[in-house]
Amino acid sequence: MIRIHDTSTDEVIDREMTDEEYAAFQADQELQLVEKAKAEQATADKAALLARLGITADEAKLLLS
Amino acid sequence: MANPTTNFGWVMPTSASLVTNLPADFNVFGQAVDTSMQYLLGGTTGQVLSKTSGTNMAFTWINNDQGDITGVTAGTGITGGGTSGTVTVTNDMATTITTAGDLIKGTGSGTYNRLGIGSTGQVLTVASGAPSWATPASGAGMTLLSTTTLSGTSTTISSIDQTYVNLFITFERMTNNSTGGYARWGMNSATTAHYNSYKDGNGTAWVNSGSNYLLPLGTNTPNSSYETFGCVVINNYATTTTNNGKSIQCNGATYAGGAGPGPVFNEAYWDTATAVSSIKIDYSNAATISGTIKIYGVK
Repeated sequence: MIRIHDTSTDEVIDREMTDEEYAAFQADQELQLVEKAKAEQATADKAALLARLGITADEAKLLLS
Repeated sequence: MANPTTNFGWVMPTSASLVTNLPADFNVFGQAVDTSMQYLLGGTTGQVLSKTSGTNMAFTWINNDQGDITGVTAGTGITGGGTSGTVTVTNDMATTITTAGDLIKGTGSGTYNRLGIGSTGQVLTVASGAPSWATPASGAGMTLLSTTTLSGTSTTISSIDQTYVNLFITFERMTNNSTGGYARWGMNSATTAHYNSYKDGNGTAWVNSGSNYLLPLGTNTPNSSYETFGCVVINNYATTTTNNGKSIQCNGATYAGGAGPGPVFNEAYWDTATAVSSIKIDYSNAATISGTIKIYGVK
């Protein structure tokens, strides 16, 4: 269900998505999953690197500052 | 009795007058009385006698409307007056008004003239030392264009008034009914990205919008009690020229009870030749949203 507020008439419509909107919605959700996986992978890679270097995240920030 | 009479000098027959002279003598006497009393004739109901000169018996009948006032002089702001009869005085300030909405304005000490009503929307101002009607300069202030209560998995605010220069949008108490996900917003329900880049407050570098067509307003919410607040300014939103200063500044924050993941700052611009006519709001995890969006137009 989505809401549309037409400000020219102040009409508010709550309705189901059209097929086109639903396709865009699904594509967006898939993109979110991909980005979430990327972010999680980046976090894991960062933690692994810090562990390999034997320093903390704060120490890494200090090193790069 | 004295003969002639003491006051009027009427001559009467005497005891020595011959009988044959009596008619003529009485004629003289009667005519003298008639002449003396002539001014008492005439008049009408309610009238009183008035002297017409200092001469004895010089009277005339006049209306009984005499008083102590001998004249009325029109002073400042009054017209009319007179020294006899019925006197009319008129409030000149009132008769100076000729049209509904007229105002009277001073033009000097004891002087004034008419200021006709202005036209719709004009305000009273001062020009060259005198009051006048003028159209207020445009360009100041904000106008609330819409207030929208969020609902559904997304809310789109459409048909945004195109007669302003900038849009100022406030996002109030946005929440979702789920964990995770962050508040997002976008323009014209675009399904492909048009933003050149944006900067997330949690990041250290500019981020190309890539495939994202919705910009982050808040950060991931650990639970539904977290609320996102923020504001967005879209400059030159109605322009249809690509890259013509259609820049975007966005500040948002997500927190609960004073603690939260932190703020989000975005700077971006929209590289399309289409005016911004709608705003879309959702959460990245497709949860049902709530909150209030207000859109202001700025001249």
